[in-house]
Amino acid sequence: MLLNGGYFLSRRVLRAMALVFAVSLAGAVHADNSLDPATAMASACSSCHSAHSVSSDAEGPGSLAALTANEIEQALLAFRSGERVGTLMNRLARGYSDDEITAMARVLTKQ
Amino acid sequence: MKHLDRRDIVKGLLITMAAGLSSSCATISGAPARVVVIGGGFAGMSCARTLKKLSPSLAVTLVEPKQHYIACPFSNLVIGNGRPMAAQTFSYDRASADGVNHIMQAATAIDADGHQVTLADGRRIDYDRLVLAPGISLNFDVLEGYDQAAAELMPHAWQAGGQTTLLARQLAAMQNGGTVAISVPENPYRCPPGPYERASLIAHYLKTHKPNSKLLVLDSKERFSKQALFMAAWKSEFGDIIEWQGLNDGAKVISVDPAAMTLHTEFDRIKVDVANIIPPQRAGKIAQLSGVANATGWCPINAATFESTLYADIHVIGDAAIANAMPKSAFAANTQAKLCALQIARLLNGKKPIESKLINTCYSLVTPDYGISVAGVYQPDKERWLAIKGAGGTSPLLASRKTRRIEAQYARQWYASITAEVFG
Repeated sequence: MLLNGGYFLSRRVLRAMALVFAVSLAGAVHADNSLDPATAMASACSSCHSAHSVSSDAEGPGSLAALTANEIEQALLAFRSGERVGTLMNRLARGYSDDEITAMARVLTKQ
Repeated sequence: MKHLDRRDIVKGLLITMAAGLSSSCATISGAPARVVVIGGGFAGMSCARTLKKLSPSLAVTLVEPKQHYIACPFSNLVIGNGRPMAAQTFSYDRASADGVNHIMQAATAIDADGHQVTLADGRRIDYDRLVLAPGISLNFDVLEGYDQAAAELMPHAWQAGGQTTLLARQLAAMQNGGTVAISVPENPYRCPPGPYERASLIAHYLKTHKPNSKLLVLDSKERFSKQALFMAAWKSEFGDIIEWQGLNDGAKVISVDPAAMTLHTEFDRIKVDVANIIPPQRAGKIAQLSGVANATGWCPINAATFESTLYADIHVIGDAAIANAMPKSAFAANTQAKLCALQIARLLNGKKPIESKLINTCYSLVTPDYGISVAGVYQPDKERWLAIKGAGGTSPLLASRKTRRIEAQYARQWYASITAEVFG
């Protein structure tokens, strides 16, 4: 039994266990963020804008990783107002509120 | 204060670790929670991998008998336009690499009360939550004369694979001046604009290689997805090669005679050289066997969580689910899968499910350089997925060649991106 044996654990094992614990905590924090409503909503975007996607066209649906949250937010707002003309994005952006756009932009910049 | 000895520290650490695990990693009495996903398409594969990513300690099992997945989107380019099947074929290797246990068996039964799935080899596997993503099954009971054997003469090519290459071969073998017919079912079916994209790409092939030929689209409906866009493009790109007839024209095919190569409508007997029969459909076989599908043949769900309204702890995503305004598309299946995974991770962590909007995008190719699209944004109310008014819609009816070319290019980028996300 681990608990009984625990009494005899070396300092090295203790350190390893503490490390495992720290990693599991980090994982927990990550998991908590990743279950947010904004993450759920933004998860649809990667079907076109995935980390794997490389656009041959600067305007095309490439990865969003290089953009800041503010750039993504401004782009979505411009698509929604029609100030910027795209193919699909105008139609999609019209489905979201200001708050939703801000929240999604924050998530998307991290992907 | 008593000096802490190692034993206390270890005990403390273990207790804290256990607490951390149970809150963050969805354990039930120490053992990892088990999620079983049946079906490895754009819905199931995506859901299994997302679950593992969101909650690494979950025990996720993918039940999928095939070694490779053959994708339907873009398979219309295999028919007459030279796209290799290899470009449609994907491995399940990434599932195992991500820690998903891929069992290469078909599921034959579900015991919803006992939370158990029976496999074709007789094994039973336990689950805490089950995800059904079985796609469609073709309903061979509706169209008189159309069964599995008939499909070898009049291919459906609506589940990509041998049927796709069969239709491609038949088209290649047809003489210039022949007649091709596509029979289209009533809603709902997999990929609403799919039959019309197929008509377009077959017409493109005929115009290029067999210009005296005709293509007859015999529809069981009066209206269809992107209709105005398709019809305008058919006229401008193919002249009078495509003739579309709808329900009011009496075009609904009610029986077929594969030996005579005839299609029968209420008034007519039409002899053709190549017949592509897209039959009525229903949710994949396991949904029928388990009773998760209702009398409509599809699976009713609670919109926000995709949980079956008929059985607790069973979720249904992708083509098999009744997602109301959301179409049965690879895009919708993939976004539903990611949201469903997140909801399951929340539920297993003792959190309330959330409400999230979802989107869909369907590109169709009229020719390899002429793309059109339809998109939608959806939100769940208590029972249904509703389209958000004012959002979504189709490509403009009047647009430049350049716009059509860009949408064709984006369609290819979408395919590369979604298949990389799901299988790469």
